Amino acid sequence: MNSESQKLAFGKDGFLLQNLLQNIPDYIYFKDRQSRFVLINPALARIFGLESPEDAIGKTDFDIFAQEHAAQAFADEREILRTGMPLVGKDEKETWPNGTVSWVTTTKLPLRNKEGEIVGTFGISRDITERKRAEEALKQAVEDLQKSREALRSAHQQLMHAERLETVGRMAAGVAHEVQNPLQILLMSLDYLSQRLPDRDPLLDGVLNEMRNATNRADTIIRGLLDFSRPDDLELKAQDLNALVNNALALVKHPLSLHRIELQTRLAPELPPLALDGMKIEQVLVNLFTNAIHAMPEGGALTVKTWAERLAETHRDLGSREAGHFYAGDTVVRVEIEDTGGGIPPEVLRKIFDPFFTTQATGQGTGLGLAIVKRIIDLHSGEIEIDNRPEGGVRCRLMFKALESKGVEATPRASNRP
Amino acid sequence: MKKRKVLIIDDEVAFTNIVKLTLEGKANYEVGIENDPRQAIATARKFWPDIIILDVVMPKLDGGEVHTQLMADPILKHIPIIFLTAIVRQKEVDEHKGMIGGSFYIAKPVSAAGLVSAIEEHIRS
Repeated sequence: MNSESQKLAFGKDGFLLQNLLQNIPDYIYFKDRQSRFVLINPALARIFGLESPEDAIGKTDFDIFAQEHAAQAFADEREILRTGMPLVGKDEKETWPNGTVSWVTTTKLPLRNKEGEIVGTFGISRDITERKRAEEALKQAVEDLQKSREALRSAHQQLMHAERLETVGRMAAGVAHEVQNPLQILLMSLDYLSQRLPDRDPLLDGVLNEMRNATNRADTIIRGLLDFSRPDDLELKAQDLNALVNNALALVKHPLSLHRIELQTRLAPELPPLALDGMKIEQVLVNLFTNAIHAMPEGGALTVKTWAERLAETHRDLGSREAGHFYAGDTVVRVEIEDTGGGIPPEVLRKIFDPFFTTQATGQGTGLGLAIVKRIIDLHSGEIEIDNRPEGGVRCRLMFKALESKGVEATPRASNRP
Repeated sequence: MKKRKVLIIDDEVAFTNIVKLTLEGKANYEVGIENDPRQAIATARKFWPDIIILDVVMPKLDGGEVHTQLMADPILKHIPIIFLTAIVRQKEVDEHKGMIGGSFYIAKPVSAAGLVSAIEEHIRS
């Protein structure tokens, strides 16, 4: 800078600097060591709502902004005063006392006197609120797009799953019918042979028994297939879910005591009635209880809870072609079954409702139990979720729409639960 | 003592054979077999059974049609009929106490004892 320019800039009237401060749309400010304004330009005064820049002198950010922003700016300035290091191009969220939010990109530096001592700070900020809003909108749009993509992918997967189930169901019905005839011949032939063998030979008796057991096992699988392929003949009646839970628990009383499993029930009284096929829901509950018992061969705790609540938000099963949607405001009854077993590995959890998927040894399970459970729940327009509990073990949740509400609380809270 | 006559109409030859062996081996039964449902009426008229065990899913003529023909016959219509079929499940049969749509059903597979018990319950006295 030559001497003429220096005069223009720093001379008595500071012509160049005055022009800069007066006219630049960016915000310029100088502060003392206590972060009190000593000078601001008119653009900043306007945004502060002050009549003139002089009105800012002696004020701090705490007089202008909401606490959240003022405290952060004060901390930044303390750091500059301490270290002498500038803060360059920081995006700052400014919150104002009336709750509005604006964004600036700001550069702050230490203000030094002729001796080089730091006597305050100064800075320049540019309003980037519009840019930030556009960025936020873009970010939100990307998130929404990702959510839509996820929802679409989930819907596609569920539709594929439903298609597969339908195909398996049709195939199962055909196979089951064709296999039952030869099974019938085998069973009756075994009965006949058992009675007609002239001498009771323990070895032959053993072989016949093995054959009978194998035939019965095949029959069990076929019955499961038929259950899976034709569970749609529901006999819906108004049911008390607690009564069904108690009936199902009575059926697993023996295995519970055999495996030394402690049963804890917290069934909310006076549940609203549900339109259910009682036998089929008992079948579902027995299946779920039995799975929980199998998960705790060395003992543990089985907890069963029921309660009613009014849904605060809509649950939409995107892939379902059944009318299995729950809407905000619906009164629902829930069942929660928890065990303290080893949990389910994630790769198994994904396939848990697939027909013929089993983790049990050959002959120990048909792989149809949970597929049938899911089918029955879907037919009731209910919802089933199975996941691992953070504290260990598995949690299974069922949800059904109530026929009527009985003064059920609008917001589900843990304290509403029994 | 006069033997009870059971006619079994089922296209599954091995099944009808084992039913005949089982029932005739047990005691007081004479079993007639018809594996071609189209011959069911003629065989029934000739055999003159006390009870008919009738399959449902059969080629050429299904059990429902055979049943209709039997009911249309002035002599045969009085003979009790038991449908023995894999198209119903035992659970369904139990739920309806054996009677589905006005007819008596047994679900396959049935044990020899179960079949004898059903025959004895429904046989023409």
